[in-house]
Amino acid sequence: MSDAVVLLRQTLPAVLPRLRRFARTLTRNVHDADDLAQIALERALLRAAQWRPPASGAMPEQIETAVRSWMFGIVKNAWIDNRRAHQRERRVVIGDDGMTEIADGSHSALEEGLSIAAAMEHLPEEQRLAVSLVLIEGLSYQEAADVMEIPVGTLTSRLSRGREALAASLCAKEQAT
Amino acid sequence: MSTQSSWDSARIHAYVDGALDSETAARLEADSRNDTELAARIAQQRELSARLRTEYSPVLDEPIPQRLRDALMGPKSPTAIKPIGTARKAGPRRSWSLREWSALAAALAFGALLGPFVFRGSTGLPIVSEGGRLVAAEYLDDALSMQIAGTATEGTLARIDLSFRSAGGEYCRVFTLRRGARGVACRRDGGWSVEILDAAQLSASEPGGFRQASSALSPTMLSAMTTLGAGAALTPDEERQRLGSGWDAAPQ
Repeated sequence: MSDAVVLLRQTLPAVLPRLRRFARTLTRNVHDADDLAQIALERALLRAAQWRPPASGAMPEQIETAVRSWMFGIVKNAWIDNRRAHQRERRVVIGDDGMTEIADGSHSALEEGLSIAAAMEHLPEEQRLAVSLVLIEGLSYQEAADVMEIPVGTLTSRLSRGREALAASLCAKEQAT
Repeated sequence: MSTQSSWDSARIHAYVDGALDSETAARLEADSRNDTELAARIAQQRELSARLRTEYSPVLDEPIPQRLRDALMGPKSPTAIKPIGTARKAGPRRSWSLREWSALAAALAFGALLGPFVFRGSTGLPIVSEGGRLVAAEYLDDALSMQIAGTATEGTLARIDLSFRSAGGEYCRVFTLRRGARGVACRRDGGWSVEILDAAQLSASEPGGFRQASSALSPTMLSAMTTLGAGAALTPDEERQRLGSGWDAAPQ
């Protein structure tokens, strides 16, 4: 096992809680989020040799940041693959996850937590990713753009649109109550 | 130049995200002190970030589930984990036959929602299509074969509620999936054939826990069991005997 792989394996436990949080912003429920985190961990360890550590002498925080960014990218790709693989089948069988809707329908009063999560769910995928990486995970624009494999300009425009949509839907909910 | 028009959303967002250069940030701050609308827009964006973090951050303090700790250890052997991409691209080995679709349609008519259970990506599909029927797989197969009814521990994905023999002599078991559906599977041809899956009893409870609120069987389940000709429930001793000698129906 190379030094880089050892370093990666040593660092993964520290970044796992953040991976779980990132996954939860993408999926509709806790179980799917942990599925996603698990797939990402499995992929990462299969491809550990592809990870490029920061230059030698990097501080532990820098190593953690590098592992985190790499892992966020793997989570994102796993999520997109998953969406593609299931879109067609879902449509045929039951529509767009009718189960969640039924479960949600049993709550007559939406609590704030549910409403912001619901607003997130309604965002287009690319805006949700941008919002999650920058607003929740606190990545810089450049880091988030790297994870999403898009130019910074594209990232900021997706982020802006996501923010506006979230703010609008939260305002609408507040006015409705 | 009025302050209202000089600060577009993009720069306000960049300011809130700490991505504005310090000189521009200082100008924006100065303007916001005299411009209540600008100040309100900044506050709104800050609140949005804060609410998102409040919503999603509790997971950071949750204990790491065992399966993720296992995943951290890496593949146990080179073949233990299929490359996810290839596993998923391979997908169902063939398209579904009319018979399987009919089974699905029948289940849907009962109010069951199979989608989330049948099509679940590469990790642990609990119910798969095989040889023209729906059969239990992975953790559901394990639970049906090895779990004594009523002994499920916390964190398990499938719980066995009771066992019975059908009129045809097959062993059948009522199970509950953690994700919120209950069903009946009967032992046939060396596998567990899923006879009915009923998601109508869903009652959203705390995430991660079994959603099934009560142990009572829904009318859908009772009617399915009547159709199967369910006899008396097996006792724990009888179940243990099955665990030892298998669930296949004894020749009559």
